[in-house]
Amino acid sequence: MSSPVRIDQVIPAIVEHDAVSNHTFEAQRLLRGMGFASEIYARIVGPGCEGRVHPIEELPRRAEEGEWLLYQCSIGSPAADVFAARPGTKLLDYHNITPAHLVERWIPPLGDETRLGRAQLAALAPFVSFALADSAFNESELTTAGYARTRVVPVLVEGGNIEAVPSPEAVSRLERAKAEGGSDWLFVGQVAPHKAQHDLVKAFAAYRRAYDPRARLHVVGREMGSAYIDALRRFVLDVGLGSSVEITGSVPVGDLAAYFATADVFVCVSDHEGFCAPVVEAMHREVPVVAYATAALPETVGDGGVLLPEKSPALVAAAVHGLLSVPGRREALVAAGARQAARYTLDAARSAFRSAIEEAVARA
Amino acid sequence: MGGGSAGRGVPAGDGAGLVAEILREAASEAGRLRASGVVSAEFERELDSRFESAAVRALRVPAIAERSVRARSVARRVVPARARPAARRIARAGDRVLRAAFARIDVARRRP
Repeated sequence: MSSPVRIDQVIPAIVEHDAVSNHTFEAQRLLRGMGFASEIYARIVGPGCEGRVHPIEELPRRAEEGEWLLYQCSIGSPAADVFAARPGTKLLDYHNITPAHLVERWIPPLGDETRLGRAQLAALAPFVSFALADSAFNESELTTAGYARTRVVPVLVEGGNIEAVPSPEAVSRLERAKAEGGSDWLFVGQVAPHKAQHDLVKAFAAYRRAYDPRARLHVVGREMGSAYIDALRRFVLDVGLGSSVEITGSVPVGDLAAYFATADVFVCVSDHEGFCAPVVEAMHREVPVVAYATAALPETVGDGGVLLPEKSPALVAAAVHGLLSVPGRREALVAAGARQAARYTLDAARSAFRSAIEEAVARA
Repeated sequence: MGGGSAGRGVPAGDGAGLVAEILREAASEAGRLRASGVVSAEFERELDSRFESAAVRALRVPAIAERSVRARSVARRVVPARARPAARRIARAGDRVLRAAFARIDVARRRP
């Protein structure tokens, strides 16, 4: 292997307001900053990304000396075959693949894609010289899949999201509702079966019933497919929470910042998270976190939030109540969250990424 | 928000200690909620059942749409052009009967 002159990236799909896509754009900036030429090739280029990303058909099939490829892996895709077929040194960045059983009931083709993704992950192992993972949890999956050289590099969360100023209109609307009384629960992430927003609604229903009948829940994020969000909306209406649960869909960054600015607590009861960037954003933005301890969440949350061993509605409701009802606790957990979030600053992630690439180059 | 705080402290600068305290209390409080019937096991089962019912209804929509597309494509091949208006009327009537039947089933399922 020779030292690289360029490191191009291949990604199955790239869209706006998506953690892996943002990570890929930031990785491109860093690679260029390190002196490598770097372009992004995607099989699906979402609206708003045209001009910054090449269709995968434009990726030269032959590699000259020193031309490396980095594959951003989070789903099964024919893009992996293109990546595998291209000669030259290969790197892989693993963001985890949702287990098929959590999604296939709702989106059968996605179940097939995630199964394909895990098969491709294992099949690519012998061809990849160095792999990155955005959590130790993901790194352990890489090791199981046969990857010999790995390194943890946290998600390169774009500064734009963390630094975004809350939209005054959105803050004003949310504060008007707050003035009526009741606490504000927040969850940010795709509305998708493995994020289990239905379990969040159950916990919220228990919380309102037991402690705070005027509480509100804000579920922020774009939907994955139509069936799950449809079921969630029907469920919310059916249990009489229509006016207290807001399912927003995708929102502008200023509105997102407003939801964080006015939330009392960030509650995550996902069944699967490969990292969970919104938890880090919550801790950065001084919102205390209560989360179900599964997949990568124990690692991402650390001592900076409440990690629950199970997610029965009664336990989640009691934990949120225990956090919000005792003076001083919320502030203490916000401080603990800020300490944990400091591990995941964009600067720290950038530094880990550069160091991992330097290690890959040194081993070449 | 209610709830008393007598005897409970906030360990300064110790996230792990505070979290352990919240967890201990939450486990015992969840037990109390269940025992008192405020958030009973039955309430939790009712929530599960209502989400399952919403899921079945939501999943039926794309399934019906997919079957309908398939049925239309078969019908186009096997129904002669002059018989299509009558076939459409029959299909619409059948659709109305099925929708009414499903609505009755939903109501019956939700009856205590």
